[in-house]
Amino acid sequence: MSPRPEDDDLVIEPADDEGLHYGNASMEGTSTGQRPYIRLTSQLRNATKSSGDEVRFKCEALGTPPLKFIWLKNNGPVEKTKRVKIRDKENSSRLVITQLDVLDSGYYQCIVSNPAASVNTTSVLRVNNVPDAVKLSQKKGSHHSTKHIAFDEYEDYEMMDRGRLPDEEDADLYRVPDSAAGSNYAPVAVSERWLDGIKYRVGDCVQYRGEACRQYLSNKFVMMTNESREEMYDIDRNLRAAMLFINGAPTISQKCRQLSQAVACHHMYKVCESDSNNQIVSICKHDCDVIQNDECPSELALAAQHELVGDTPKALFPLCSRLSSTSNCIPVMSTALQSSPVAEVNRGHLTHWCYVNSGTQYEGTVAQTSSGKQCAPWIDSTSRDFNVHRFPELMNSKNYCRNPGGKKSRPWCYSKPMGQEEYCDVPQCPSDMYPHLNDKKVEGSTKGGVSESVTALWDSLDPTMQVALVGGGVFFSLLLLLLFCCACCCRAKKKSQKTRHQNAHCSSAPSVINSAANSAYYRKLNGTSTPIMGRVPPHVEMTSLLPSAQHLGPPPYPMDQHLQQARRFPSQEPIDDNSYKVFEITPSQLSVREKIGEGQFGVVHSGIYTSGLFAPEPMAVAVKKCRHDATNAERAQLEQEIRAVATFDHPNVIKLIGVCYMDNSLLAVFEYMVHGDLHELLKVRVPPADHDMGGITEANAEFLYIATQIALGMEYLASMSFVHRDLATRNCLVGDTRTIKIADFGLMRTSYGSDYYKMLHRSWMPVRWMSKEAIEQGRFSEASDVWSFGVTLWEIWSFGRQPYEGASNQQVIELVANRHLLECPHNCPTNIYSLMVECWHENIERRPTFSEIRSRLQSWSLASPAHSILQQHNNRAGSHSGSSGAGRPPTHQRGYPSQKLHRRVEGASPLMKRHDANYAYSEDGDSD
Amino acid sequence: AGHNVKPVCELPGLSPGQAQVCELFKDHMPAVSIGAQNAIQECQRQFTGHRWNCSTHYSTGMLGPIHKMATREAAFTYAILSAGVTHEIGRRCKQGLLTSCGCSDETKPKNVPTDWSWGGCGDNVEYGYKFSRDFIDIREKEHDPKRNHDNGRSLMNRRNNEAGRKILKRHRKPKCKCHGVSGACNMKTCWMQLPSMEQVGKILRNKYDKAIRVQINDRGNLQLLADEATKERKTRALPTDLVFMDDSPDYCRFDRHSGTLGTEGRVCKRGSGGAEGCDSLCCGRGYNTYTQEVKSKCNCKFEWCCKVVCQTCNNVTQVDICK
Repeated sequence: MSPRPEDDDLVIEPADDEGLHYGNASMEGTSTGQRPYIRLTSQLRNATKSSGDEVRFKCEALGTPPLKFIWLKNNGPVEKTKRVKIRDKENSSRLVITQLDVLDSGYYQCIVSNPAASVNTTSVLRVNNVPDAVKLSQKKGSHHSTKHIAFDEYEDYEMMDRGRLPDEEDADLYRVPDSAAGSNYAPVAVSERWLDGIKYRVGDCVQYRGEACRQYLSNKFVMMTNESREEMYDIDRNLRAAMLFINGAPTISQKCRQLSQAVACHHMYKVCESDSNNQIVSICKHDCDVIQNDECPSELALAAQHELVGDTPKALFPLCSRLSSTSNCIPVMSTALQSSPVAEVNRGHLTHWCYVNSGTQYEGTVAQTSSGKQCAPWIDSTSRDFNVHRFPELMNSKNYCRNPGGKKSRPWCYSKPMGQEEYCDVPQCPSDMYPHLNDKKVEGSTKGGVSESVTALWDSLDPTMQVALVGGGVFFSLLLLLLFCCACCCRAKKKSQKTRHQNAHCSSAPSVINSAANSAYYRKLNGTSTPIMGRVPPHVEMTSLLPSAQHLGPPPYPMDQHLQQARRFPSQEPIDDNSYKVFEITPSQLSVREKIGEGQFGVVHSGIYTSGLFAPEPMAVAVKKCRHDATNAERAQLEQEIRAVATFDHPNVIKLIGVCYMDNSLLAVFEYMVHGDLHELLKVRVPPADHDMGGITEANAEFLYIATQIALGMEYLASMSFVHRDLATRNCLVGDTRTIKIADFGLMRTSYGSDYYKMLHRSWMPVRWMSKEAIEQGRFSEASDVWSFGVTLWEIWSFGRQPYEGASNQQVIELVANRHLLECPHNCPTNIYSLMVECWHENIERRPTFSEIRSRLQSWSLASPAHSILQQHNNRAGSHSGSSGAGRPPTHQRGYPSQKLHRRVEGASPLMKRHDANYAYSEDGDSD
Repeated sequence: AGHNVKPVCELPGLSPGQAQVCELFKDHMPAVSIGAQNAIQECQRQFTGHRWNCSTHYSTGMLGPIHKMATREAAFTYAILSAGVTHEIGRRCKQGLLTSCGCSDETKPKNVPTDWSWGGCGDNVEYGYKFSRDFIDIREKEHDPKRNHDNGRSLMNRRNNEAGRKILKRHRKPKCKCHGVSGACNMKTCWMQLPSMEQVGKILRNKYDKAIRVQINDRGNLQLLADEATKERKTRALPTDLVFMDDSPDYCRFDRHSGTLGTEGRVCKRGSGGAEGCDSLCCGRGYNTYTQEVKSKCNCKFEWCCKVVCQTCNNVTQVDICK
C-alpha cells in the first residue's frame, strides 16, 4: 500500500522517491491533520498508433488535500470533444482519444496538483497515417456519415454569412459549369488513388495498382515521374479518357484499339525492369514499326496530327525512330493480342469502381446498399439460392456487393440487420468503357443511342404501320386536348380558329402591355437582369438585335440602295429602349405537362394554354424554364432569350406567346407543333429500299416547300440582325400542312447529343453544320448561317441522315478545313445540290444571302406541283406581317442587316444561349 | 527556396508548445515558413503605400511581425498569417509533399452536378486548418504559470487566426480539369481548390476596414463595443470578422514603445491625393526627390520558338522619399 501518513511526525519518506512532494503543515487541507503531500504513482508511456485507432492515457497519483488533474497537449490545454474524453477520479485521470488522427500526435502532459505541490508526467503520442482508401473500406459507414455532418454544418454556416462578404456575391464562380462530358464521363473511385499513402521519390519504381492499365501493367513496376501524386494520377486519367475516345471512334479497327491501348499504357507509364532495378524498358522498336507501317498506319497518322505521338505528357504513342533496338524491350504486339477478349474476363482483371451490364463480373469492394445500409457477409447467407456453396466465388467476397450468377440486374447484397436483398450503391460503367466485358447481344447497339434505335424501330415497321402509328399518336394527343377543354370542336374548325386567334393575339398584345400587371413585370425583368448582365461580356449579336443599337462599320456585302432604305425604316419608329413586348400569362391559364426535352440551363415541357380572352380553346405550347437549381446568370440568359425572341413575328419563326411567373420562376411559353421537329419527320419518310421514282418526285416538291419556308424564316431572322448559329432540321418544327417554324429549344441534349461537339476552349458546337470560319475562328454571321442552311438542305434531301455520317467530330473539322464537301444525296436534283455547294463557298462573300436563296427556291417551286400551297402560304405571310402593324416593309423587300461578322463571344446569341452557357466550359487546364 | 531549410525547433520565435509540435512535424516546418512568407508578402501588397506597410520594429520572426498593441493591424497580420500557413499546408498535402496527409477526401459539394466525377486530388484544407489551429493557436493557449497571461489579447489573436482560416476555407471552389485526347475533354475530374493568397488578402483587407472593436469583460470574454462614430450598438460579430482592442498608433514616427517604424525613408507619390501620396505618407514632414536610373526590359520580341528576346533600357525616374 502506498504511504498514508497518519501523523506528521511518524511519516517516513521512502528512499529515492523523487516523486513524493511534501507541503508544509500550515497549508490548507491540514484540517484533517494530515501533512499535505502529492505523489505520482505511474508515469505516462510514449505511444505510437495508427490513424483510426484509439489511445488511453492514465495518470495516477496520490495525495492530500484532494488532487486536481490537468491534461496538456503541446503545453496547451486538451480540448474535450466527441473524440477526446477526460475522466477524472479521486486518484487518477484518464484521457481517451478515439478515432485518432495524425494531428493528434503531440506531447501529452498530465499535471497533478494540490496545494502541496504540482507534479507532472509527459508522453509523446505519434499517430501514423493510414491511407484513406484503406480507412474507407474498413469502416465505410461511419466514416461517411461523419464527413457528411461536418459538411452540412459548414453549409449552414455559409448560409448564415452569405451576403456579408462582398466576394461571396460571385456565387456563379463557385458553380462548376454543367456537364459537357455527356454520358461518357468516367467516375473516379477512391480506389483510383492507388498512390495515396505510398511514400516515393521521383525515379522510384512502384508496383502499378491503377485502373486504366490493369490489363497490361498489373504486376509491373512503373517509374514515378513526378513528385506530385496528383500528376501521377493524371496519367491514369488521361489514359482512361484516351481509351474512352479510342473505343468510341468507329473508324479504328478492333485490333488497333487493343494495340493502341497497350502501346499507350507502356508509353505513358515508364515501365521499370523490376522493382529493384530502376532501368526503364521501352516498347520494342520492331513492334512499333510494325504497328506504324502495317497494322494501324491511318490511326497513327491521325494521332500524329493531334500531337499524340512523341514524348509529351499527353502523347499516347512513342516515336518509333527514337526507340532503341535493344533486345530488352516490351513485345507490345504479343502483350496486347494475348489479352484477347476471352482472356480479359479473367478474374482480377475486372473493374471495381463500376459494373458492366448486370455486374456479374463485378469484383469491387462496395459493401453498402443504395439506401445506405451495410451489407452482410455472403458467408452468413442462409438463402437457398445465393450461398457460398452454390457460388464458390462468394467465399472470398466478404460482404461486398455481387450479382452471383447474374440473376439480378445489378450488384446487390443482403443488408444488415434484416437480411433483405437490396441493390448496391455501385455506378454502372459508361457503355463504351469496357466493351470487351459487354454481353454479345448488347454489343453493337451501344454506339447508336436512343434516337438511332428508335429510328431502327421505325425502319423495321411496315410503312402502313408507321402511318397508323403517327396517326395514332396525333389522334391520342388530340384526344388529350379535347379532353382538356370542355368544348369539343372538329379539327378543321379548330385550325381556322387557331390562325385567327394568333392574328388577334398579335394585334391586341400591345394593349395588354399597358396593363398594370405587365408594367410591373417589366420592372421586375429589368431590375433583375441588369446587374447580372453587367458581368456578362457584351453580346454583339444581342445588342444588334435591340432596336436602338447602331450597326457600326460598313456592311461587307454590297448593299443595294433600296434595301438600305428599307433597312433603315424600322429604326425610325419610336421604339423605346426597353420595350420588348411580352405578354404575361397567369399561372391559372397554363398547365404544364410532361417534359419533352432538356437543355443545359433550361427544361422544356409541353403544356396547354387556355386563355379565355384570346384563345377560346386550349392550345398546345412548349414551356421553357430554368432548372430549379439554375444560377442567376442562367436566369438572366433566359430573360435575354425572351427579350430577343419576343420581337420575332414571322410565320416561319417560332413565336413566343408570352411569359408566365409560376412558383417564383420565369417560364417562356412558345407555340408548339405537335408534329415534332423536321428531322423526325424526315426519318419517318425515309423511302424503303425498293422505292419508286414517283415517290421521290413527290418528296422533291414537298422538300422544296419545306426548304423555301426555312429560307423565308431565315431571311426574316437575318433582317432582324439575328444570327441563329444552330440551323439544322432538328431545330425546325413542323406544324399542320407542313408549316415549318424555325426554333431552338435546346432539346438536342436529350436526343441529338452526338450532333454536338465540344471544341477546345469552347462550348458545345454543332460542327457538322458549321462553316470553316465558324469552326476555326468562331466567326458567326449570316454567311455562316447560310452554310448551315446548305447542310440543312442536304439533310432534307437525304431524309435526315447525319451529315458526314461515320466521321468523328474531330474528323469533320478536318474534312471541312480541307474542303471535303458533302456529296450529292441520292436523287437530289442538281439545282438543289448546286445551291448547297454555293452555300458552302469558301469565301463568305460569295455565298448567297437568304433573300437570294429564298427567291431562287420560290421560283423553282413555282414550277412544281407544290406551288399552290406555297402561294397560299405567301399570301398568309403578307397579310400577317401587315396585320402585325409594326410598320415594317413586307418580308421579301427586306434586305440584309449589317452583315458585319460577329466575333463569337461566349454566350452571345440569345437563341444559341443554352449551347454556350450550358456547354461552355472553357477551362482546359489546371492552374495550380 | 524553403525546401532545403533545415527546421530547427529551438527557434527563438517559437513558444514551448510550438517547439513540441515542430519536433513531431518537422517536415511541416518549411511549409509553415513559406506560408508565413507568402502571407507577409500579401500583407505588404495589400498595404503598399499606406503608413503602416505590414512591418513592425520588432524582429520579424518565423511567424512574421510581432505586434505589441492589439490594433487592427495586428488583427490583420494574425489573420493573414494563419491563412497563409493553412494554405501552404493544404497545398502541400495535395502535392504529396507531406507524409502525414494526402489529397482532401471531402465529399462532393451540392453545387457540383451529379454527373461530374468527383475525386480529383483537392487541397487538403481540413488538414491545413487543423494543423494551423494546433500550431499557431497553441501559443495563445499555453499553460505557463510563470508568465502573466494577457487573456484578452490571446482571445483576440485566436479569434483573428480563426477568421483568417475560415475565410480561406469558405472561399474554396470546386475546380475541374479536362482529360481526353488532345483536348477532347471526354472525361472530367473535379476537386476542391483553395483561393489564392491574393484573393484572401483582398477579402481580409475588406475585413480590416470593417474590423470590430472589442473589449475584455469581467467574465474574461470578449465583448463588442459600441461604435464611437455612429453610436450604433453592434449585436454580433461574424466568425470571419476581424476584432481589435486598441487604437492604432501614429504610424508616422518611429516609436520603440508601440513598435512603429515610422514613414521616414519611405517612397511616396508626389501629387497623389491617396494614402500613398507624399502629403499623407510623409505626415507633413516633406520629402526629398532623388533621380534614379532603372534598368528594365523593353522592346521585347517573340522569337520562334519559343522565347522572348528583350533589350535593356535605362529609364531615369524621380523618386520621392519621405523626410
